Amino acid sequence: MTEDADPRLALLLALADDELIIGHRHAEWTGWAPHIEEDLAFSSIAQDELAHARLLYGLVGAMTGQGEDELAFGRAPAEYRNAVLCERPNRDWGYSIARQYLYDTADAVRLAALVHSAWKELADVVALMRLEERYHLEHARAWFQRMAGGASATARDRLATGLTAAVGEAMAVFEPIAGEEALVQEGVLPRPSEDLLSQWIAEIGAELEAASLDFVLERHASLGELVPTGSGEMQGETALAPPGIGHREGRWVHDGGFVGAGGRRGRHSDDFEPLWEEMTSLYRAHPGARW
Amino acid sequence: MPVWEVLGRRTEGDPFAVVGGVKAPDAEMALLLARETHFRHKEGVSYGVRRRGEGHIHEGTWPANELGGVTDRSYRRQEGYVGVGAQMKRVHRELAARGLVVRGPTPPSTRSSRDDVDD
Amino acid sequence: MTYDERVAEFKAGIDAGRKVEAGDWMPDEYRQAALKFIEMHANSEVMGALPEGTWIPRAPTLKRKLSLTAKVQDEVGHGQILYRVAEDIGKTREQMFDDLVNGRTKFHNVFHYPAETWGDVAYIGFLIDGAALVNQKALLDASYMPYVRAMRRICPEESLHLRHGEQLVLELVSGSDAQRKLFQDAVNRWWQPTMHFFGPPSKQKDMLIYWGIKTRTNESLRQEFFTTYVPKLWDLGITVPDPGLAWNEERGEWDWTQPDWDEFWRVVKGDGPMTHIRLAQRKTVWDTHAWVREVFAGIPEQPAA
Repeated sequence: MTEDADPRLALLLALADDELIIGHRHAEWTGWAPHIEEDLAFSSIAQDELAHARLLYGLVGAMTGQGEDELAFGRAPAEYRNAVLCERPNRDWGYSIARQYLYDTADAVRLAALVHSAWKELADVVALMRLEERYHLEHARAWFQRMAGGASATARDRLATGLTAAVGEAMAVFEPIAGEEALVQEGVLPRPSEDLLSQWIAEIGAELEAASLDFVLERHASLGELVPTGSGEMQGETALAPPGIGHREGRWVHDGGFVGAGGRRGRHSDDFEPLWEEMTSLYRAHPGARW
Repeated sequence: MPVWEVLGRRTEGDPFAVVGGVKAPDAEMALLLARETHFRHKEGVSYGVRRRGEGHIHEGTWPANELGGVTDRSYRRQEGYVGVGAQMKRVHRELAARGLVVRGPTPPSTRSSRDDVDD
Repeated sequence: MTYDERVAEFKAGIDAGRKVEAGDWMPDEYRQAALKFIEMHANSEVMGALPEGTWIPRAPTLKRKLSLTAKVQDEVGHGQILYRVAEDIGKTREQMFDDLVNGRTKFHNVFHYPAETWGDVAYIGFLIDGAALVNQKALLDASYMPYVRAMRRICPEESLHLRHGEQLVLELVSGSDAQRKLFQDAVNRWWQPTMHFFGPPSKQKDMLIYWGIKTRTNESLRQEFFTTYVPKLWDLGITVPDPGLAWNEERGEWDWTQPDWDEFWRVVKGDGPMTHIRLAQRKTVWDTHAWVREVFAGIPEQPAA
């Protein structure tokens, strides 16, 4: 892939691969969710994400000539640009809900910016996606409130555990795109990733604080050195370490920048390869087949 | 766990009719779940829930055109499968031409549709 | 009126085509028969989600990943509708689910088997759904109206699934030799469970038919299945692994070989190839997510015993 030569491709693949991989994980709950009506509700979220991936792969295909299935199933693992958050297994419902909440609140922040993109085709697709993402936010907050709310101490504990496990990787949804400065200058990406990260941390920080769950942020210690984000350079072999999280002047903020390379550079966790293997094996076993 | 009746209006101007039920802790969650369980195939233009034994209908706020999603949903609607019958006939003809069709007596009701591809 | 007199009057009504609503008086036998039948149907929908569900992560195109997810979502939806009907007869959904995962209640034989390949996904989507639709159309005439209304909602969705399944089959049989083989192999493995699905030749006194909950015999439904699907399979060059299957013009019905009914009984009593593992997995999710039920009931959680 030559998306490093074209930051627009890098942006599209980050968005599309996030939606594909998280849609893939969400869809694994279909038939298994712990409440039968919720099984249906969550499956719709999974289908939305997969449908959004299709729209975004369509934009990629317009640039590269590749079909949506070739893009979704025909690439090598290092070519996928999704955030590591998306590829993690579902564990239990507490983790899955925590991850859905963190992912969809982060997605909402970036889509709110991208709907003003100077790239009209992308802005149009984003506008459509936002209508469905509204449901995802409603769903996440409905569960968040009821799990945090005290009807069940176990539920609150499961939510806190899930949030603690996921929040660091959720920050990496905002790992800078390769060549991001050019996108910001052109208005394709109206605001830099670091800006979006800032906004998201402030928003969820306030919500967590209101639910007395801000301790999950405090547990997220700062691991990275204070280096600027958005440098766009390969960080070599180090795995991605996100910024720390602090609280200053009444606001939740990130401390420092991303160090190392993560999903946006094609560097994934140990969980990605088994996912990729399962997701792509039938497609790869019958090249060119129609299904 | 409380049961909530799910109500819907199929088209504008219809009265609310009971279309099913969901189990949920409160009206807000009942509305969210009712929407996805009973209206994701665009079965109506408006929806509501009513707790069993109560009279008050809590009405849903999502507009009709957004019920069931706005991106391409043809894969779960009839329009996604228009042409399957024609495809069956076409595939049958191709396979018959390759000599692969299995022969054997069948009930009278099935015969006419099979005869037109005899080689 | 004595209880027996009321039962006789009720039975006469059923025979004359009278329909029963949820709040009507009904004999204990009728109530129990309806509950057991509908509960098993609901169980079957949620267990039916599992064989195909294992192929959602492996679907070979985005369109099929979506359509398969939607289809399995619909199966769960059918379970939701049917559990609601059963619940109103008098057993909570929590109790029904607890009984299911602990192996105390039954579900249809076909959902005790693995979906080994995409050929199986196509088979299930076309022929198992086809068999289910034959059964479900007959249930539209059942005496218990809440069940009939549920069938009226389920049948159109099932018809959509059938067309989807047909599409999957058509792509395989008109594809590569390897794809044709995928489907033929699936037919060879699934044919006997499909024969089992319609049940053994009907007993002299079938209580479900007596009460009008079922309106047609097992054999008549199986014959309808043969007539609908065997010519289609043959038209696609697919053979059925029963050398005794043939249309008998004289008798006006299909001859076929009785399958091994011992296997059928073993499977539905809980010893199919996938029964234990699927129920164990469901039980694990059920047991470890009691907190979800507490949140939904709004009841403060009791400490674990």
